[in-house]
Amino acid sequence: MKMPQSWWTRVGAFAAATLVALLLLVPTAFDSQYGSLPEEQQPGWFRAVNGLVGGARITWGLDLVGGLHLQYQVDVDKAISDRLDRYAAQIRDGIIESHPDAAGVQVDRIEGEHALLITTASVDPTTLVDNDRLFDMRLIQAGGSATTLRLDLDAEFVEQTRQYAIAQAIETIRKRIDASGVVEPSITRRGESDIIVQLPGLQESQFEQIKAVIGQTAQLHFQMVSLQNAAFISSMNLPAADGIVLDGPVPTSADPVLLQSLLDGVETPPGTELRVSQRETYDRARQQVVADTYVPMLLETGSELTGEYITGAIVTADPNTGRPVVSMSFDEEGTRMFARLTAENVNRQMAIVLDGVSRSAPNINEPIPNGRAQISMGGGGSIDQTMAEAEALSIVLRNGALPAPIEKQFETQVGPSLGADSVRAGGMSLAISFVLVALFMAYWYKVAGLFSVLALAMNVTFIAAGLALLNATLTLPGIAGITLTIGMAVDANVVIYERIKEELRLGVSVSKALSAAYDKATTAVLDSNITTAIAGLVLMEVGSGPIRGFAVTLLLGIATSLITAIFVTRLGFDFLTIGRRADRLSI
Amino acid sequence: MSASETPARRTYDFVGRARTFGLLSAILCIACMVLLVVPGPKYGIDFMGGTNVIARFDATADIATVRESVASLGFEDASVQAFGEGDGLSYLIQTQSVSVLDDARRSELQATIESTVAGTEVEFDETAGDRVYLRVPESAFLSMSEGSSSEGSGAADDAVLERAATLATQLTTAIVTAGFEGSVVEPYGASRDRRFVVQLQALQSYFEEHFRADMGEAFLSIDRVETVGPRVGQQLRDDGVKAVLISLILILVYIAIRFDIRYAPGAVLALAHDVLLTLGIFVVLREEVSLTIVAALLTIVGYSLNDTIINFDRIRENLRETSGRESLNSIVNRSINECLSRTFLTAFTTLLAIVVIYFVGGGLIRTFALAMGIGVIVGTYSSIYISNMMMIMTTHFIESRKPVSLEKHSPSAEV
Repeated sequence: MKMPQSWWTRVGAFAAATLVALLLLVPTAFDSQYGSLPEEQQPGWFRAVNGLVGGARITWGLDLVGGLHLQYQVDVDKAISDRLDRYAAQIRDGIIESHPDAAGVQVDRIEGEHALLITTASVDPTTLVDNDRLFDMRLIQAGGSATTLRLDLDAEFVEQTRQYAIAQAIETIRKRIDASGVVEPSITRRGESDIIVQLPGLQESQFEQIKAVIGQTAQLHFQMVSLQNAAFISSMNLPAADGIVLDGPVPTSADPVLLQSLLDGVETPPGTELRVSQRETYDRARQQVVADTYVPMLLETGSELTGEYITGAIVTADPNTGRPVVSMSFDEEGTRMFARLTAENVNRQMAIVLDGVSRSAPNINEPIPNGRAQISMGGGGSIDQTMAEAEALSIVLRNGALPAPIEKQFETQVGPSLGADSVRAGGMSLAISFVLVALFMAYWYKVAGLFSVLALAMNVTFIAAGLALLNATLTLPGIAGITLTIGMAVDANVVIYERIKEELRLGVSVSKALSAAYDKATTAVLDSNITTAIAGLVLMEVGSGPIRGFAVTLLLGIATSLITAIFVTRLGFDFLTIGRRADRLSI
Repeated sequence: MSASETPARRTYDFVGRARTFGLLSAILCIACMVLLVVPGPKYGIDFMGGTNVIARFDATADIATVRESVASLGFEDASVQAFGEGDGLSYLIQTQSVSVLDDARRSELQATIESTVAGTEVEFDETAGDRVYLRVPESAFLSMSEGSSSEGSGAADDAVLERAATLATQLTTAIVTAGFEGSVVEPYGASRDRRFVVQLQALQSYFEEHFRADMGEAFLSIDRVETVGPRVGQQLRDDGVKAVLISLILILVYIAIRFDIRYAPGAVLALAHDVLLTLGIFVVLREEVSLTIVAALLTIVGYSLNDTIINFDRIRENLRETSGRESLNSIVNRSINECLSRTFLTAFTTLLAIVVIYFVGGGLIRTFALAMGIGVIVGTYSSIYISNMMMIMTTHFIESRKPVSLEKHSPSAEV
């Protein structure tokens, strides 16, 4: 047979595209077999293909492999009203302390607003309130009457608190799940104040554990480093283990969970405990922290100063040296405790311990009575390095306690057996639909029908390859979307074929009928698919989790079916008609 | 050439019967609107808030036994239905509760707390139903830390902390003894605020323990638990309505740009008709309306529009070709007939896939397939009767306000 050059070019292009699509699917197909192996043990060809496709693969949705999906809302209002309650108590205490004769002073939070109301029996409340302290609390005097005074919380401060609370909550949740060492979590922010945590493949037995880990409040403690620290660490005998470097006096590890588990087995002097301490390795050339290593640290127990007493922490420049320092402030109660702790421990190291890991251990140079502490950073590194360390420390100080309570809004737990059932059912319906639609098309449109079956097979391959390329998550509704696409994708073929028949009925030649049908039908097919795509896009914007998965496959299906249904079938017809006198068409 | 030509050659008078079907559709739409208000759709838990549990039992447990067991849990509105296939027998248990606390147990808990520490403020959280906030009175604290001065001595701070821990233990013991197994009370916030939070047992383990105790060996596993807080439910429902409305508006704009303003109202009316009828039928069947159904509705919108556009495209083409030699009604009717075999063939292949999903795809997406099936049938009908008739009506309406006749000034000229 002698086909023109352009036909071969098009056939070549589609063959190449199909090959690429199949290649994209190789990692997905063999992932369960080799994906979990360490890279050295994977077959060479698997690694090669993986590298070639750049890690493209389909992720299995939570409803297919089982797992846990949680949606939390960060309750910023709760955090703010708690804070206002605390302010109210402090202001009242302050007034009673400075004006013991002012009777009947009340300080209440105004329900539903970010404001406080001070009420007195007869005195003008403005004379009672210490303005310097209000500024500290971000409260603004906002009118009132002779015996009342209204104080508003700075709106900008409320917004900052909101944004910051959500970002910190995400960060904290991520750290905790990482520390628990289970599957890789996906944590995303959604909408105004929602956090979505997804743990596909999580074992059922771990569901409760993870939920508990997320729900607890982060613990920030200030603990004194034991005077025996260096001596104890160098003399203790840690068992050898993978991932622990034992050369030198101090064992190091990149894995805090592993190191802590080994440290738990070491007997410590009374009143002390062993904790892992974080050390950041800073890459000067890249100007960023490149790795965290962890070392053991002997700390004194029995500290009651925790992160909940901290009211703020920021990075500032030391006026004398210009080097960055972290300034933090405590509330009244925290000030008292901090004053006592620092007075008793001058010239010792105080460790700042977050969730059991020491993040920093600055030296106490002098007693600090006013609750305003400055932590100067170590002098070794460059300004950039010190700045990075200071930023990291201020974040730790601020996020010590979860900044706002989180509320569970939505939870889905899927056991692995139900997931397996869904995969089986979904796969089965996909296969049966394909066979039924293919049989129908072949029966109804004969040879032309076979072209569209070929187009349909390529379509399904392209959808799957598209999912892999997007690293999309395949869900049960997603499989339903592909199945539905099979039913709907042949529409483009039906439109064109019916048109061809119509043209043939009018008595025009086969080749004229073909080009007329493809010309006239293409715009209709395009228009109708674009509008379906509009609905799909809206669905993707609004839908969550599995529904989004459905929208993705629907949209991919529209794109690929347009290409395959129009161009692949045209190749088939060209094959039948070009270069020979076709006066009949099997359609 | 095959038998497939036959339906295309016969010509049916669709436009002539437009009045009858238009009236029928109008009545049906009004009926569906009424149905959507009274009795209203049965919302799934993602729109109402609540809990879905899929539990698996072996063959010795029939639905009556499971119902009985669930009833003894104390959720008044709990429903049980058989679900899916699989190795054992699966049941879907649904309730609008999101926590182990119903009203009765709520007052029981409150009474327990108040009798343990008199004067405690109890604050139930309506959204996160598995926790309760407490604030104990100053007296409960001072009675222990008496003699502490405001000097800020370490002893006073220690006493406050110790008191908080003691209270938490006392409350935990009392609450667990009162029958709320697995609950924990913890202090939170600054200790001077005297605040505590009661973390109640999660529903998952509540169901699991109950079934294990009540059904013994017959209980196999909890396969899926889904809880949705009432607040997020409201939000999801609003999102769903918004999604459908936004799609309709965007589609209206697209049609108006791509075709002509005469076509747009017909297309959108047909879509609204499809959404309304599908929802109405769901109300009649007492099927649940959930996020999945919103996905189905949007897909139906896309599908039905597909049909409508194929028809409109043909009308536009025929208008251009005849340019005034044929009446609009006749052109529309001819166009519908020319597209008819395509309309039915596509509906057939799509329904083929839907029927397979319905019977093979498993319980979780059965209602999705049902909605799609209804939608495809209704959508096929509306793309023949509703959208085209509305297009004719819109054209006449515009004609009546303009001196130039449509036949001489075909809409296609503007495309």
